[in-house]
Amino acid sequence: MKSEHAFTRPLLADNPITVQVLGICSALAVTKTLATALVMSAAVTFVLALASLAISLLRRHIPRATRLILQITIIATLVMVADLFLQAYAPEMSRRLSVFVGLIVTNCIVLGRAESFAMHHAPGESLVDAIGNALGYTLVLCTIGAFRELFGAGALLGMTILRPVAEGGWFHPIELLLLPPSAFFLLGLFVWAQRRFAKRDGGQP
Amino acid sequence: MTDERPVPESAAKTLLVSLAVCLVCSFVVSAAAVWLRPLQRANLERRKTAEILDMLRAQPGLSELLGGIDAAAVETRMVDLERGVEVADVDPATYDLRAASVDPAQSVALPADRDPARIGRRPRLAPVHLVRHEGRLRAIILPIYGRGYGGMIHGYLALEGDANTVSGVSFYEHAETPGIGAAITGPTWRGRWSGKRLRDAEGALRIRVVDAKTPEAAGDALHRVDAISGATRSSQGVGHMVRFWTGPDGFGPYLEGLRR
Repeated sequence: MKSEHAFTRPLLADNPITVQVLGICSALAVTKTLATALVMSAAVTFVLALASLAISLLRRHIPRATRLILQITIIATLVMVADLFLQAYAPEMSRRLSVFVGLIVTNCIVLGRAESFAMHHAPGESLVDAIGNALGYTLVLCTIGAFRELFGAGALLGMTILRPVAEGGWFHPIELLLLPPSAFFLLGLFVWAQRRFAKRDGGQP
Repeated sequence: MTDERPVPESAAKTLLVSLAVCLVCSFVVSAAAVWLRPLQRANLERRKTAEILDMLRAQPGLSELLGGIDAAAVETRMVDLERGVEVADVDPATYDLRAASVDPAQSVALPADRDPARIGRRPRLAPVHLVRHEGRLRAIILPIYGRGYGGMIHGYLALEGDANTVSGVSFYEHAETPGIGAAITGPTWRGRWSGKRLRDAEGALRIRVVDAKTPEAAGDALHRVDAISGATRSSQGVGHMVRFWTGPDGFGPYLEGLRR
């Protein structure tokens, strides 16, 4: 697999959320605003990239018997570091993301890339693959986050774009979008649109 | 370009590699925790001050009276909980309530039947924050804490100058379930506390959190706060801590003195 291919494939054609349907828990939970989606994506990118790199570097030494435990240990370490950094430097954001940063440990994208890719590939390729997957995750999260914030609250990154009626504007916010189920609907539409219109290059169903 | 290679598997190597990875990981986490702790502490302090000011600003009447309340309008006193009097020889700025509440020298153990908030030990001294305006006491802010559903809840209870009417509650640290128990920090539920009275005309401590199963008692409306549906245990946790901290083992004696 060429590394540019490894990088672009997870963006759309093999997107970890819409095609592999992994990590959707956080995609539903933290996409109420674009800001939370961005910070969550950054945290996942950090964890995914460093976990893949570390596991790839150690891949010839990780014993088969304890490999999943060691992968989870490395991932959990990085998640805790990311969580501590958020608590220290962005306490408000850390409170809004609440448990979901900690739950990156159980995000199947991270363990999935570690087990299925980083364990069998060189560090450089693994890093490219990890960043590609992280960007695929970011793409979906930020699209949903931007949509929900724009049409649910009339704002983007906290700045008012469509002035809601309550503040003397014309826009009636679709408050349903701020509730968690709406993220499910949006994600479903996203998956449908992609399967309907995008060319698939793999043989997966 | 997969480079599958059989990994030599001996028990010794398995143990050694696992141990090494675990050691490195624990070192990384500990280093990050120690290095970032001062910043997290500072954030918590900022949040405590912000909660006090927010709670004061949200009080009807008070915010208009004082205009923009700043931290300078709030005076902090140390209270000897048992005797219910202010003590002057302890500086509230350096007093650490959280450390004192577990230090055997600075706290007393609570028997289970007198410990509804389930805190185990109660500090001998605790700070109160008072807001005065034109010589009159306008607000009393008490630090309160107790066990909720997910862990300890830390916050403040604000009373009006009569030391009986609740003007607000707020929480700056808790471990309740996001979206469920964490609703204790939301405006809807906190709003239900405003205007409630701690004690009735006879002076009995009546305030409590009730759920659908609690039978109504006469003259209860001023003292009952409805629990959040689905988060009864978080709500009851707050109810118990409010009762404890305004009761005889908490600030009860001090508030009694203020009322007279």
